[in-house]
Amino acid sequence: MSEDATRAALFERLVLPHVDGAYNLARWLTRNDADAEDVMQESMLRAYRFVDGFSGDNPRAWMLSIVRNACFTWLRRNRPRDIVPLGDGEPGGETLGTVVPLWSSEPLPADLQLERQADRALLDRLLEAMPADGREVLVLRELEELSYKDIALIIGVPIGTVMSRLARARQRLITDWQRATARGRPA
Amino acid sequence: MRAEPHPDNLDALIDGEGTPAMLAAIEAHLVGCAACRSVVASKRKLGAALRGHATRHVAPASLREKWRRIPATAGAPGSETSTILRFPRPIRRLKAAPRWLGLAASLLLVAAGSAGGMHLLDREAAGTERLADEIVSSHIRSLAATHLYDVESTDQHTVKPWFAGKLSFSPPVRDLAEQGFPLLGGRLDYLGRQQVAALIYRHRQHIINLFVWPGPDQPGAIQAGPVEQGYNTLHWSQNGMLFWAVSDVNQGDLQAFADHFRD
Repeated sequence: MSEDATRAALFERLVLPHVDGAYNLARWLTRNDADAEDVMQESMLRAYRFVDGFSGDNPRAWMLSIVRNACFTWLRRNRPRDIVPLGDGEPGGETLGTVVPLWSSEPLPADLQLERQADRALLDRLLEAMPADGREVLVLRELEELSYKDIALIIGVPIGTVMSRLARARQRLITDWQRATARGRPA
Repeated sequence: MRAEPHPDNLDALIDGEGTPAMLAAIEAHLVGCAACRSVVASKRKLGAALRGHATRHVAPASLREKWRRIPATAGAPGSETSTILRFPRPIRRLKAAPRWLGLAASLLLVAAGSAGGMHLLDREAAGTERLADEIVSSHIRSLAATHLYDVESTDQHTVKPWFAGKLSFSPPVRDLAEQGFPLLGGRLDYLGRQQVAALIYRHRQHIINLFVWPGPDQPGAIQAGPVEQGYNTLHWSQNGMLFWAVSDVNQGDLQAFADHFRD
């Protein structure tokens, strides 16, 4: 088999199955279709170039890490203000006792009312408005359903950071949800 | 007082991550802590909402189609051309890279050792066209908004050190603003698998990419390379480096740029 054909076969086997997940991540990070497609083009080229050197056992994480790196490079260059970090917090700086006051005492309403189209759109909008690093872990965890280990591999941080970032991202999204819905409803 | 688990650990519980000991400690804590139970309930609800209702974007069919393999005939004798036709033009060009790569590799070998000889020059001539092809593709890609600079600076003393940690060679960087070719920045790029430095210059409204990588000195003047898709190319060698300039400026301006750079 020629080198071209070998590469093409590897690309088909290792990269193409993950195009949707890769696109989902790129789309959530860039926040629009055209930019997501640009980033994907760049990422696919990179994957194509380097696929013959890939030797790990997790092509999905490999592909997603290419995409997230391309996204952050793109954001730094084109929308630097989008990368305000969520903040990973001080490890061990808080205990369960001290964190509670940060939470609104109200848990999310039982129904979340997501049967309403408007509420689904709100959920998308709030996720989109999250700082990019928080959005990233939420998309990888909740939409791509990846393990902490894989997420750590993809974004290149320790597993503990994945956990604390997810904790803060969820907390932030819940607070945002509560604010948005409280505003929108008569007192 | 018993140490309380860190609040982030609640998320480990929600996600089914963490060691059994950690999870057991959290469960124990939850029994006596209504606030944490409510946090866990809210976060679980949020997770379900995201999984069930947030948009999971699907790659557009056009993207998928663009990258779709390359028919099953790949590798069959004589089918190489057809296997690459489905790629959009720049990709198709990339596909051509491995063939000249072997060539580039042998040229680099010549540079590294002193072996090699005249017969390689013929192959080099044959490779020039492919190299120009690749360089023009890289230039076009760089003009897409996603990938013009890795380091954006008009200061050669910023751009040159930037490459230092990233390449095994040190490309010469010169600002030619006074000559009408201001430096805009630098970028890491690949030609095939060879890592190269790309210097970006502007001339009026035109972008010039100057690709630099180590290679054998070839005495002689600046040579005009093939014109590809309306882009002019020039190449020369100097101090153990190969230089390829590519731009849509006219050949005369590109020549002037190369002359200034070599000065």
